[in-house]
Amino acid sequence: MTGVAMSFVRIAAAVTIVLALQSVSFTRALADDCLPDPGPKYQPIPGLTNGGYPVCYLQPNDTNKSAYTALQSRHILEVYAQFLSPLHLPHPLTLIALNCQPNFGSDSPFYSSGDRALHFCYEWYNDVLRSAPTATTPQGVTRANVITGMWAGTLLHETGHAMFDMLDVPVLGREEDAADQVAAFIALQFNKDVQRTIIKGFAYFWQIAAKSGDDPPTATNPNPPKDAMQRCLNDPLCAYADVHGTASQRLYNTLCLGYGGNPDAFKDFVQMGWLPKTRADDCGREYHQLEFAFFKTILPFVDPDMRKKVQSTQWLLPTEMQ
Amino acid sequence: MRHLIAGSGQSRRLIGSVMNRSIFVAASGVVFWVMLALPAPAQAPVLPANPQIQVDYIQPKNNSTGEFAAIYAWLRARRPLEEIQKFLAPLRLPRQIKIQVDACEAESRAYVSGNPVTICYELIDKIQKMAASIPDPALKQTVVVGTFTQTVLHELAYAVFDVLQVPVWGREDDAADRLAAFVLLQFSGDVAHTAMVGSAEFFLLSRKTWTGGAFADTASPEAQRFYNFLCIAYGGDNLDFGGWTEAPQGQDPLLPDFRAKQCGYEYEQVRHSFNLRIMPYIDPDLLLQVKAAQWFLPGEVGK
Repeated sequence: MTGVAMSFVRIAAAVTIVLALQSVSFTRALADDCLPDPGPKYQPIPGLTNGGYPVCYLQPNDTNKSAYTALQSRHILEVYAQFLSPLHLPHPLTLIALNCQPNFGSDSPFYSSGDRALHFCYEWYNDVLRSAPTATTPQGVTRANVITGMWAGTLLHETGHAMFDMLDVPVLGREEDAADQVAAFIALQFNKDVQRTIIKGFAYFWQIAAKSGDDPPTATNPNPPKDAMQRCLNDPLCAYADVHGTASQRLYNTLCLGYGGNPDAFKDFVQMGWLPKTRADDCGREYHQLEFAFFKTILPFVDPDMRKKVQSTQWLLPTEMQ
Repeated sequence: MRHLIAGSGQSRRLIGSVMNRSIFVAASGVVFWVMLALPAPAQAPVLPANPQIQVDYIQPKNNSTGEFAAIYAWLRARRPLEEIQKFLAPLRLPRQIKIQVDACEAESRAYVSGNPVTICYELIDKIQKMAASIPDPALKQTVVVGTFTQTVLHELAYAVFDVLQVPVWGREDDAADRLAAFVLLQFSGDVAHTAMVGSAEFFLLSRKTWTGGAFADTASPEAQRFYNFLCIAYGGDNLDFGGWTEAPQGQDPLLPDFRAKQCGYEYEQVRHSFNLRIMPYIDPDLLLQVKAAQWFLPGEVGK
């Protein structure tokens, strides 16, 4: 994935406000265009029903047909709706899979408060497939880790934005970091295999992004782009104006929460030097800060019995955790 | 028209600093602190000190160039932490917080629950050295006074989160910055301008090149903090700080358009969090007195 392509990821939240207004009419106009399940039909897990998460796959363009087929045949949105069923939001959260180009000018999934919808872009899934390693990395990250970690991590990240919005959560730090924290924290409430798949996959994606030039540049570009936003993202100072952390910050934040939440499961991150020792020493405290915030502000909206059932359900396929 | 003139003025100053200052010399530091120790007389705020806040200036062992001794002398003369005791008079704390200035052998010392909040001589020294490179005396004052004030509130924020059991989403260092910026923005134009412009300028002057593993730091890059401050300021007051979003034809504004569009949302997010989790601990009558008081001496604010 190129640095330019990745820069779309970083600017996604910046355009969300504009998109929120556009998407009201967009989703209403296309609400009737949700594709029917071509079968085999999704078989819901008993006891995890919550009508608050309607799902919709919109017609993919030719480029995105394989992404649609992969997501729909896995029933990603239907599964995720059931996964979210213990969470009682005051309004429905619509889960939409769609072409984000050219309407939204970005490959990056987003939550929009204007229509209370989580938009999962087919293009994003393709980007992840391109980023995922073809062979296991020195850190032990597999292709399956990255693909699974990214679709799961991305859905959880955007759900974080939805919770902050609909539950009026006080967010004192930067919201994009907080949404990454939601993704990591929820992943860490499951068994070790799920934890390692999502944490490693999500973290590794940001490492690839950093290596592809997504961290702010250290030198001024002698030929700055004409587009104002691209010019900014190519400037050693202005690039830091992004509401997202840098790719490397997102990598280390994710590794740190994994290690802080379950030191035994993630101590290899520190041993191999992926997570620097200086940061690792603080990670237990960072995890507890996050746990406290989650318990105080979100847990009251989670049904405890359904939560136990969700935590004991196997959500990922064995092949997705290899 | 006040907003256009003031905002544009700040914008140009900050743009100038980006382009013109990259190397700093701190030769006149000691003299500078002595000058600040002799401000024009002014009426100190008549407010009770918060009984739950204790302050201390720990005498430093002389560092090699003696600057800490000069800083210590200034602190003992100006007594800024006693001002903070009054500034925080409205805050009802369930237990005591001690704020101290100490030598840390680093620019900051992480807050540990139950221990004092520490402002490090090393950071004050750095602020002074950065400011010494600024030719404009008014901006020099603004950087020293504004950054010092912001630093105290930033470090205090950790203790406030701890003592009031505030849930903190996002990185704590950014939350401390956003809370400090929000609080400072509630005050008169002089206070808000001095703190926001001074801090932003300091972040620009002190920024380093960040690569790879440096991003593992729990602290955010100076440039990121710079934009966070600009954004909270502009989001909270787009008249006084509107100049940051303007630029002559063919140039880019200091605060890029794509971020500026979000700043109202970011400011409201902090305000909402503050109202929900901290405001219940604030005495509303004392708050008004604090807002009405004159906190900076006439010689301490830039024009």
